[in-house]
Amino acid sequence: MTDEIDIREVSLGETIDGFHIEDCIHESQVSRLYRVSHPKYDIPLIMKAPKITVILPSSVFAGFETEMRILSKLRGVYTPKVYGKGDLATAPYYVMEYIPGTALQDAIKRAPLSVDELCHLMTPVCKAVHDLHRHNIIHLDLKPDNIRNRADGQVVLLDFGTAHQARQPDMYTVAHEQQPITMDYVAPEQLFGIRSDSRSDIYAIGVILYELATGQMPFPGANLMTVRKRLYVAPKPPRAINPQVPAWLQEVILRCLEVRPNERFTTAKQIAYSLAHPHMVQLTELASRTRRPGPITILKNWATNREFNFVSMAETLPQTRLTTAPHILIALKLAHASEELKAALRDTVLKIARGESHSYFTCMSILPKESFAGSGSVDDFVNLSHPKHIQVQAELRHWLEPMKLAKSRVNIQVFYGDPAGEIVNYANQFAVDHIVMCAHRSEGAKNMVGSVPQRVIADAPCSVTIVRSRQDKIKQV
Amino acid sequence: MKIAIISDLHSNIEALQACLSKAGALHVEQYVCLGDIIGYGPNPAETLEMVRSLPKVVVIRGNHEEALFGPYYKGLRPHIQQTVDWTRAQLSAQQLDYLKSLPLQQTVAGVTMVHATADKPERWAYLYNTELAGECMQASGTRLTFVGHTHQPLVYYETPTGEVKYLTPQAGLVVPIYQLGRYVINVGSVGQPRDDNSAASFVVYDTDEQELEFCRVPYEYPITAQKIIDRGLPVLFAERLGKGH
Repeated sequence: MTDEIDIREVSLGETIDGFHIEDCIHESQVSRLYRVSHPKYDIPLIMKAPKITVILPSSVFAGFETEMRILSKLRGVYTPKVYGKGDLATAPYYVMEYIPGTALQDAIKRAPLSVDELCHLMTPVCKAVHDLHRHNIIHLDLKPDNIRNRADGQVVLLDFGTAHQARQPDMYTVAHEQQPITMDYVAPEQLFGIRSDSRSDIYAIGVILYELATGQMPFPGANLMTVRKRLYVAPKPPRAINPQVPAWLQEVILRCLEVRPNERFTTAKQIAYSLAHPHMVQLTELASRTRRPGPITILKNWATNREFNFVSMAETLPQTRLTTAPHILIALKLAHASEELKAALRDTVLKIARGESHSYFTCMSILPKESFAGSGSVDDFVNLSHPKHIQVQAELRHWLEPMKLAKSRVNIQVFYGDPAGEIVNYANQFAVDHIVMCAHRSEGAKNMVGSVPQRVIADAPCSVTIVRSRQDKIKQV
Repeated sequence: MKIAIISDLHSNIEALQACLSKAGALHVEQYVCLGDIIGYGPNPAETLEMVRSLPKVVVIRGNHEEALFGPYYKGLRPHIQQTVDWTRAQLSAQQLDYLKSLPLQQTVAGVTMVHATADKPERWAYLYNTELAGECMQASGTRLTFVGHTHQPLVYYETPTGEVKYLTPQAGLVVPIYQLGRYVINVGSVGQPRDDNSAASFVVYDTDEQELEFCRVPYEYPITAQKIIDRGLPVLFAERLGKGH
């Protein structure tokens, strides 16, 4: 095929499809960004257009088209909203909303950050990456420059020119590799040309976490010559650079930076969950590491990792991989549950736990505000010191015990307030995959309308299983 | 405009009806049939007439039409020759004349339509690898080439550096057609799928959006299978409808 294309480049000052090109705000080797206006849209807009030279490298054009198609498909929640696009055959461009915020880039300059600020910044980034993987898209060039935020704080991911869409033609080529990609964030498997493993983005998140926690890069000054070192040399432990980094955070960061993808977090939302629930992070040797592994480990890693078969690990669709580590929310009202119902609920949860070995659970009980009558203030209760709160926690733990689930797989939460609202909020906040809850006798079919299960089913962002014991049903009859 | 591309109907009227119903729901305006309307199945005359009645239909010759008239027949295995003979006996002289007149290849909306491959289509080669797909791209002279023949839906595409890759489309998958890429699209088979999926297969090409939609339509294959047995055709052709291979 020929590289010569009979198309023109949009130019400063012209108006095309109603978009007036006012100002060039950025220029890279392959494209330009313009500030544009349109009489129909009263918001700041940016136009991206590939540079058209006498012979346009067609790989660059393919990257532009990939990006345009992905942004159009995602419809602008965690990506810029697209407002217009030009004919690729005559005058290629697309117009997107301007994303002003540079919170993450600014934070990198201030690093090392406090743990609270790091978690506050990176939890939404993890959620955005999780959403991307849910759409079977792998970014493959995540770095602070490509992560901005809207005025309301919403994280937005940019630059999908080298992204991979599963089940779609992958136009990425060797020519693409010659484009300037930041080597600092490249996962080991990407060095072998593998583009279909969503855990490459997990690695990049690990690099950003490392930067924020230490103020340094895990592999400083990485370039094409030195980038392969990460296959056998582990990064310096974050706590060796910044002693303020807690052990659990070092565990999270180094787990993201594991050479082999199957030793990293499976999903980005697991990282978000760990950042929000540090006590749930299972500490291993990674957490206690005080210096890089020595020469014998390096030699061993060199011998094994350079021959490691990354290809076979990458075949799972991103969307499918997400389902292998589901987050299950168990909503319980123990005080009102019969022993039969408790057993039935345990049975359902165990089936999920056995079927999905990477599943993890939040076991939640929500007490209505009336529970505080005569028991002290609500604030006492929220501070986890209230005897009633402690009692509910103990009951939940007791209910869980027969299942013998690893502590690292189960998080116990007690909330107060509107049960259905709290369940749905939690499910939204942590991208829960499945809610399992009971239908109590008082919530039988006749009374389902307006009941907690009915409201959860209506509003939950995921599947909901309602468990009812046969004995209870018989008693009702 | 939306163009439905169907292929390898193989006298399976139930599968064709199911596909046309789906295509209608997708607001298809034109049809292209890539050949092998007949052979294997129990309703050659009815299937042919239904194809001829489709809006703006363009029909291409397949190897099973070729077998009715040319020396290709001699190279077939005896049980396939048996179905060719039976099929010929079901068709009117007018229908046979129509099938004899079909072109091997035709360009529709700037796209090459051919049964097996654009590279020497008269040889009826099977596109089973990227090398053959690349030769088909080279020979067709158009950016898109639609083929059938293997009974397995598949997309071969060329990257900007000339490498040919492929992807296996899932049911309902919408595949974008990149501005610079060349594609060979196998639309699968309406009447006898062979990719371990019994549902009838066809593709809708949206010329405005430059997208391909891969459609799979379940149909009542036991009815077709029973008719094959009732007409004394080889049982093998009845059995494979349910297996999808």
